[in-house]
Amino acid sequence: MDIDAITIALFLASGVRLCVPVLLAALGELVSERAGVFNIGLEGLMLFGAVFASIGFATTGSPVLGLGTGMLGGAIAAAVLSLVIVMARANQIVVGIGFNLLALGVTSLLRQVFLVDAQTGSVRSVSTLRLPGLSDLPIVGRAFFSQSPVFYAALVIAVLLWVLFKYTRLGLILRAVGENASAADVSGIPVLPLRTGAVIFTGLMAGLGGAYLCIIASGGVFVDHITAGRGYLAIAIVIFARWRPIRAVVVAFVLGCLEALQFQGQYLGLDIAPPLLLATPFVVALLAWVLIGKASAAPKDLGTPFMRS
Amino acid sequence: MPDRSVQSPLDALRRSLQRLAVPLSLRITLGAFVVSTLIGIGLVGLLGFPMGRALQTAVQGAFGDVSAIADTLVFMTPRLLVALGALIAIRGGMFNLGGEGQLQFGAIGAMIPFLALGDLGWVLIPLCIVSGAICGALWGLIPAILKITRGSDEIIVTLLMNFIAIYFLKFLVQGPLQPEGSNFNMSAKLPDRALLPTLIDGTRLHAGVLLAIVAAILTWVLIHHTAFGLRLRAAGASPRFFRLQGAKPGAMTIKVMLISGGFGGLAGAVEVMGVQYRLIDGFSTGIGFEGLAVAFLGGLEAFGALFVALYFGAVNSATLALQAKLSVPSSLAEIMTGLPILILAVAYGLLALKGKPVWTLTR
Repeated sequence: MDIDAITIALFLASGVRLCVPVLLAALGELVSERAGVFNIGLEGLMLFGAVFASIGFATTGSPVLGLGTGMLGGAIAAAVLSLVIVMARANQIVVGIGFNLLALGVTSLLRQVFLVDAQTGSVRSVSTLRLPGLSDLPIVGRAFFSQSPVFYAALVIAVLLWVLFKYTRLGLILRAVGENASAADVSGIPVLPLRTGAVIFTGLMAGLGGAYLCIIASGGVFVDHITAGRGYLAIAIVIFARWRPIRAVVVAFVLGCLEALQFQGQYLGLDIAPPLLLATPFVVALLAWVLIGKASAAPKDLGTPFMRS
Repeated sequence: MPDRSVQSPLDALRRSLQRLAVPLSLRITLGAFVVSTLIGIGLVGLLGFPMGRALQTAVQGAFGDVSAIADTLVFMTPRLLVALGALIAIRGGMFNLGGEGQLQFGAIGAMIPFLALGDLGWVLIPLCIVSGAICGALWGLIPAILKITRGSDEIIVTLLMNFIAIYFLKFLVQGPLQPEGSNFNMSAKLPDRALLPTLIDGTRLHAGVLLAIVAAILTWVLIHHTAFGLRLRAAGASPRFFRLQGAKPGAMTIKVMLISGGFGGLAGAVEVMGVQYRLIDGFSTGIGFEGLAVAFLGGLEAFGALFVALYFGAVNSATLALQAKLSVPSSLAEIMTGLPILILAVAYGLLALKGKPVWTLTR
């Protein structure tokens, strides 16, 4: 069977669209982890972002404000989470599991209270922005340059994070906090505020990821457990990308393309049942994780609450 | 440093009194449950439901009559089984967060004897249970092998494998196991004689409840009263010491994950054979994750898990009653199960901060 240019372009475009939420969450998680906080509550943060985005959109009718409230919701949830795991030094894994359970319940409750007969409007203003000139290119124009502005923002953020960790003093300080919190503390670096800031940044990004899922990928409608494990996938992406932002973009895009096979697979001559295709990002993330073996690039103090001794 | 060799009779008395007193960790755990229950009640009030009636409905829904107690125990069962598996693994040094996936495979495994051999009558009951446990154990074996051969961290592996299992079950019930001419995402029903027997007529109480309670007792014996349990705790508490003793950490990792996965599988099998009677997409509403919370809240002890699972069971049946009678949103159950563990973790974190660690995990 022939595969024409349009099929490929549509497939890549769909891969890009599907990778955005996990990419945003992964970029957020990357900052937390670089600062030494292993945030399993990412799934819950995305859920909060999604439900607040839906509420914001339903209330104001503006998808842009929806994305904004989603980010805000993610950030507020993350601020609460950071009180628990950064300030109160609770076990990060235990809290993550509990937080995700709680988030499933709270977001479902918020939906039942605020979104019972919510009206949705057009989301066109945030779903597509054709970049002049570039979007007319064959294949890549449709795949990469006729996307949601959120996608371009994610790329810009990835580059900024790369610059942050490679060239700036703040990036170096954040890494110091993740590598050896005690040493950073001794040299006068405020460990806890920095970790709190990192977790709140994660909340903003995961919130935007959840908001994208809700507003752009499903037209503003929040359904319970809309994230379906994407938060966990994002954590795997961060580790597979070895805590590097640009690699995270590539990994997320590959996983997005795998997920896109469920929509475009049959045009590409693949006949695989949709649930198996939905599982492929997880399988590939798992294989990748196994193949790279021990993650020696991991921040040394990842997952350890900071105790001044 | 006080001189320990000099002991006054008063000290001896104080020590024996201390032994009788409720330990700090238990007081904190109880406190966490009380606080989260109060928050739950407050939330029901905040949502505009009559609090007095809601409270009465909740208590009656959980413990009001035989059928309510049966519901509570039925909700308790899979959570307890997953928790037992999780706590065995964590005590043995494997952070098995894959209870959800092992449960899914247990559910699939429970269908295999029937699908492969047809209706064999009551013989299917033991066959299905064992097959479910084996499937769960094999799914649990994968992270153990990956850890030993590739050094892959089990936290990420088990978390990712949960979702692979969920989608695999979805695939089975949408395709290969969907009966001809059916559009529902479920398999054929198990024959009546292959279902777990009902213990009290007119209730949902099935024999799996007994299985779970026996499993809790066996887990306690295994961990505290066998040589294997001692080695398991040693492997978890101090991997280095364990190696220096000449023991093989790899063999222990495998055994621990087989047992842990087996319990998860058992949970899935019991859920299929006692509650759902067939394989259904989405039959587990995060039971695997709730089971993990149960294990942590129970202080990684079998009987602790039993009581916490009972509380979780009561919360679920109470929420069911609240939803049926007063249409309180059912998501209250998830909130009530997520809250205690957050409160507990904060309390323990704050205590550790004051230099009084009461609860140490294996990492």
